Amino acid sequence: MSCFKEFTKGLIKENPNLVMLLGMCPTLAVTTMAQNGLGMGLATTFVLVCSNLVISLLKKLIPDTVRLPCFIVIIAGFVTFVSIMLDSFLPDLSEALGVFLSLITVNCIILGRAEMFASKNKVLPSVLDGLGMGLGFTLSLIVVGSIRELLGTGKIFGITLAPDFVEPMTIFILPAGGFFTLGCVIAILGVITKKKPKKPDCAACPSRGSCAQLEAGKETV
Amino acid sequence: MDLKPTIVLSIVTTVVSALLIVAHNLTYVDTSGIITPKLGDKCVSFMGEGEYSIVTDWLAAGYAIEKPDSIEKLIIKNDGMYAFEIIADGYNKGGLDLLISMNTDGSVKGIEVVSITDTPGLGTNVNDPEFLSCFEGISDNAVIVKKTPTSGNEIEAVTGATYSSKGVAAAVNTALCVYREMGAMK
Repeated sequence: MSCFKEFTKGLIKENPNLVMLLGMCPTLAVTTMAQNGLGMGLATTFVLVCSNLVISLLKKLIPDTVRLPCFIVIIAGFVTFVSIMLDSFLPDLSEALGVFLSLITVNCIILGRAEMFASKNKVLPSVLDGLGMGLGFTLSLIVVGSIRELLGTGKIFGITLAPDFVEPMTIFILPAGGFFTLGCVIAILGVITKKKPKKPDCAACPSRGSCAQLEAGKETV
Repeated sequence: MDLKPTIVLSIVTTVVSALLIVAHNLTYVDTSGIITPKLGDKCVSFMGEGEYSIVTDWLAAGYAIEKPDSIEKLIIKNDGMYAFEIIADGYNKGGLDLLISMNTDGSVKGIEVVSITDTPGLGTNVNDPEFLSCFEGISDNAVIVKKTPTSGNEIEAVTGATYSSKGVAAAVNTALCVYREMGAMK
């Protein structure tokens, strides 16, 4: 794949959040306000790019048996570094992100891209992949966050948009609203990108032994 | 036995740790003797405009005891008002950062929350004027109960935030205790 494609695939077509369904916990947690989503997304992008870079550089040196512990130590190192920097220079953002900043370490997107891509590809594609995935994540956080903030408080990025007589629906900034909004956004994106639902793969299905469809002769490949 | 994986993992861990130690030392700011802007804002909203300073040496300032470890800072305003900054354990260790001011008779005057790192939406609910005002006037042994309080020093816990409520009570009791021991305020 050309280098440019490595970057753009993460934005929409293989958006880690809305298409690959990775990193859902921080999505639900920080999208109560659009600007928190932006901050979290950018912090994650930074960690993702750095960890992809380092892991791609070290891919030949890290033995297969300890690759996951090594990846996690490197990722945790970058997250701690971001945490230290935010505490010193942007303490308000640090407090807004709170515990979720440390939880970037276990964000599936980062370990997922390290394992699936950076450990098997050259440095430049890995960096671009990290950048694309990170920005795609940021984009989805901003979209979900804006919807939740607008419907839940009548503001976007702190700017009041809804007229005075419209009562905001607080449920959108609570967890239930978060799940609902996220589900709707994923569904709408699926329609826009004309994604077909996955056909069942009978060969890999764990319930092969007791499947009624199979006995009726309706095996699908 | 192949030692290479172990060695590589050890090296990676050591290098990452070393780099983080350097980054931490380069940016660490010791705020033990200063009023940070955030703390300053809280003081102003709690005790009004004025000049604030921290008493670092208690014996030199005329109090009966040295600053105990349980008190984070003793903050004094130029018109004589003062508050203890106390960091208490709520649900998280050190989850409650509170300013507590005392009346001259040894009872609690007021509580202001500087920051809470307990669970957002649950523990953070102790930052409620209705709950915090229950402590005003208490002069002895605040106790958190889970039913309607029967005596003056009993306070009902915030629903879903028992640990955090107990943390606030513990901080109040620390303030009461230290106030008794420190002697006359200047």
